[in-house]
Amino acid sequence: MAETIVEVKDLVVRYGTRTVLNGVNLAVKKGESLAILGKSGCGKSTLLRHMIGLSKPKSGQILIRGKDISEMDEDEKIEVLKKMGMLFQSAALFNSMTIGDNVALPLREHTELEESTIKIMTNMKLDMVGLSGFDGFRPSEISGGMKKRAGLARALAMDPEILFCDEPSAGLDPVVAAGIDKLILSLKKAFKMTIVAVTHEMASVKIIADRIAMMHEGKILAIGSMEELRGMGHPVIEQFFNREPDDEEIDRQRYLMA
Amino acid sequence: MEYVTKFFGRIGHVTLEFLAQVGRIADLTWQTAYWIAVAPFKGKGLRWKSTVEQMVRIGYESIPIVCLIAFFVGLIIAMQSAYQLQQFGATIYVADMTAVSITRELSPLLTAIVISGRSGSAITAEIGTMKVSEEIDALQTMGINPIQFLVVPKTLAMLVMLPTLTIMTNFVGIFGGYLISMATLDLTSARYIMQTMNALQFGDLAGSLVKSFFFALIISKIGAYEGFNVVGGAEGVGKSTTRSVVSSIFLIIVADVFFTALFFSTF
Ligand SMILES: Nc1ncnc2c1ncn2[C@@H]1O[C@H](COP(=O)(O)OP(=O)(O)OP(=O)(O)O)[C@@H](O)[C@H]1O
Ligand SMILES: [Mg+2]
Repeated sequence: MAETIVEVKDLVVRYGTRTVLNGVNLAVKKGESLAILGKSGCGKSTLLRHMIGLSKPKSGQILIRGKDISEMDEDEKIEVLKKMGMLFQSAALFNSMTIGDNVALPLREHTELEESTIKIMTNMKLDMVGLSGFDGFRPSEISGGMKKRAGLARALAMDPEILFCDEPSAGLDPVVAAGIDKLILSLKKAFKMTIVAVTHEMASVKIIADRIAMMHEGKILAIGSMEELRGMGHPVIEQFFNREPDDEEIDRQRYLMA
Repeated sequence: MEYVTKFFGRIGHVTLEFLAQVGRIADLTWQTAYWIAVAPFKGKGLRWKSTVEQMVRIGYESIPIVCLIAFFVGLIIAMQSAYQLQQFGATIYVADMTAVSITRELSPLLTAIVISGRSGSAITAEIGTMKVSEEIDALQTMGINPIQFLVVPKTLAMLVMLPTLTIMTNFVGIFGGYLISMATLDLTSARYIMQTMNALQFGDLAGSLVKSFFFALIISKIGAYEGFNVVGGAEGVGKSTTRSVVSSIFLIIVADVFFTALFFSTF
């Protein structure tokens, strides 16, 4: 049994009076790739934000290698964060810097490497995501899909042990999306990287995910391999896998067909 | 009865909110001070490159506008003083009036107000935009402290440049007064200069600098605080930027009353 690297315990998150996460329990094992699925707005991004310690939970805990992230001091937290990479849903590139500087920033901050070495490493990471030659561009000068890939390159800059991706292939064409899937797979194989990815692309879930966590109504409804989830025959899961609309959705659209 | 409870409840709520805000600004100031004064001794260096960039933006690029304003204010003060003093045939004291009111009051105050509108707003807008676009979050996930990365260079630059600009505007303002006096009053240049030198005391200049140092602290702290507190999108950035300028100008004037009473009541 592989060691648990990130553990979410009874996580509750509320915005105002609205409960978004209502007791999430999740254990990510070292070296696995976990896909998080769920309806838009069900709290997947919120869950990721908590897993990397960006937001403090109302109640519940996030344990990184068994240690509560909210109990770590500044230096300890930095050490943990250095080994984590995060691709934001919005890419969150620094708009005042070039793509190259975005990728180089963590290296400049946390290592004593020579500028020439940093340049080589930066270009290597950009090359991985198919953006070689774009290091001098600013985020405002590249497309949405390219920003996503630049964000991925930046998340990979420090060769993290765990990579969190919020919809890595959203907004990409099928060819590039397949390339990103392949990249994620090879990162997992070659570097034994642990991957937690939020994604809606069932095709890429099939390729990259060892396990799938299905979120529903603020909880993890089910977790397991594709076959295990299929075998449960749960209506919510079936609906998701078979790409069926909600009943109310059909109601809402009735007037269009009248 | 219900209205009475509501009324006092409201007052209580506003007071608590205000105190909480003061607490958060104090905390931000404390953390900035830590990153400026303590962390460098633990091997976490200051960002000189970024600080110099900010100095250019806040200080160097503001020179024309603050000097122009100081020049005009010098003209105005000299004319207003001459209007009063002529009645007593004491126009030579225009030199004293101009020098003292420029250095003690108008130069630090007006320079701070202009810089608050120019650079305080820019600090809020920059940090606020980064907040909205999740760039602050991205910094944090990389293990980079946003205060060290963003706030410290801006604060340092402000603390150095605002007093520097104030020294400059002191001279320019006095020079403006000198020019208009030479043009309109029956005074010799040498006499006016002598009179100015005698009128100015060390305390006037020191007070001018101390004031502008604290004004710089107000502008940079309020600017950063409002930036980090942006909620919502672009509209939120606009709102916070306005609030940042209005509150820092208000606090600058309150601080000015305090320092004027403190320094100059005894002189
Ligand atoms: N800062 C916030 N303030 C208030 N509500 C928020 C905030 N952030 C998220 N929410 C709410 O939390 C819920 C979950 O948001 P989240 O972004 O985690 O959804 P998601 O599952 O990632 O959706 P998507 O697939 O569309 O990205 C949403 O209903 C949203 O309205
Ligand atoms: Mg999301």
